[in-house]
Amino acid sequence: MRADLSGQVIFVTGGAGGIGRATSHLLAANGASVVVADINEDGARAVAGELPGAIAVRMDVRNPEDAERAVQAAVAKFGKIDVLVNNAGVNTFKDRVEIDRFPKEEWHRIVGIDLDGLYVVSQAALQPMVAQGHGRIINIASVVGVTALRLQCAFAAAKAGIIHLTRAMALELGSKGILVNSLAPGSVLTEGTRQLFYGEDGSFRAQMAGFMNHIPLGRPAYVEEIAEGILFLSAPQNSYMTGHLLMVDGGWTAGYMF
Amino acid sequence: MNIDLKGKIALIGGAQGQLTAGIREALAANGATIFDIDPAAQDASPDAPDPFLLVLVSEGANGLPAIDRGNSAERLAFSNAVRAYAGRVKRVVMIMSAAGLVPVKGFSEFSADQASLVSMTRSLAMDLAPATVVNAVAVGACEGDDGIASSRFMKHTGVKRAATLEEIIAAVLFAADPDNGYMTGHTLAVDGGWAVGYARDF
Repeated sequence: MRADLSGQVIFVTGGAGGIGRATSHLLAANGASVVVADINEDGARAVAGELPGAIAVRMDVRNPEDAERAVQAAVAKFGKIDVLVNNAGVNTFKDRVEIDRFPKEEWHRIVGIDLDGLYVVSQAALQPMVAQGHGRIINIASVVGVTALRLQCAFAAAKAGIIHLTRAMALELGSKGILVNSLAPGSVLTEGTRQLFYGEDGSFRAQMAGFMNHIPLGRPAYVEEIAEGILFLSAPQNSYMTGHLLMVDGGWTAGYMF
Repeated sequence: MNIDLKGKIALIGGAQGQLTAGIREALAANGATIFDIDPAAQDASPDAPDPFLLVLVSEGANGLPAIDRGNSAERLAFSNAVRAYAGRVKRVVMIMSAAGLVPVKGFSEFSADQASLVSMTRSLAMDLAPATVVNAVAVGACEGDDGIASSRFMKHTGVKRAATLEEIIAAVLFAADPDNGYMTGHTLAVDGGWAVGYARDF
């Protein structure tokens, strides 16, 4: 689709990575000015460098001072923030174990970045948004927050938390002119997941063939397909949708394929 | 916002009314050639050109009935129409009431039937994948509705107005969008928060 985002300022966390980069590109192509925020400063600069007028900010979502500084940089440059995309998130690849053996440090790392970080950045960005009297927040969740999977307890908890927090935020912020929605991708081909699909470990490849059979469309998403959903949630004409969880998962959570 | 339906055929059937008329107009404005169909009367017609899009509007999308009643004939007709075009159509979009997401007290037959369309969106998505994606749009209060539907759907939400036709149509266009090929089995809620929770303080 095409939407008219001219004059709009989009703040993307995790902007250096797969979904963040694709989102930055697609929203910029539709006229938006983009703030690319990431803990990976070089990566953020690289993405911002690909987009006319975009800026990069180094930001650890867990750090309130970082978040405040990043929001201030965005407002100093562009005067406002229209859309916040809370995309920064991590999962574990090496610790796929049941909760009774799940490492404490890994629990806190995942919940700390994925859920706590979303609260920290949202609070920072809401300062200008509430003053503006308008804004949108888009929280990137996951199918794992909808349909539980084994061996990812922290990720499941954090992503389910994001989905329900989105609803609570929508109910609180609607009267302040702010729409809050979430988007749940399923399997996505990004640098982060590429090792799962094409890694050196042959057993992963065998597992993946079985994995895809659970997805009606039989393949992972391209990051551009996730970005389309974020574009829809940013589109000015989509002005009545709030508290919604938008599934972009190839039908994974529609039901069991066999 | 606009989508690219140039050179594409869209079929639209089911309940008539301001929403169906608005959808037809929007699809045409985005380049589609529109044919009206009767969902109950669809046979597979191999000679007809393949449609890109099939839109089925439930009478539930037009608000609440005067008295509670179900309409399983509508669900059977929709299922029939989707299967008639399975493998040829790329996008199916069903439009129903948000009563299918959260039931409306006093309308249990109506709500159950609308919920059956939400369920069918999921199962047809599985059946018709990967060639066809199947999604839905669930509608709450809409401008131009009678006061009863609007007041029920807006009672617990912070939204102080009904949806405009354009806001509902935005979701229909997204579900029909050729660029939106990875969303399937999903029901988009344009319901003012009916399915989200309470806007009052507890």
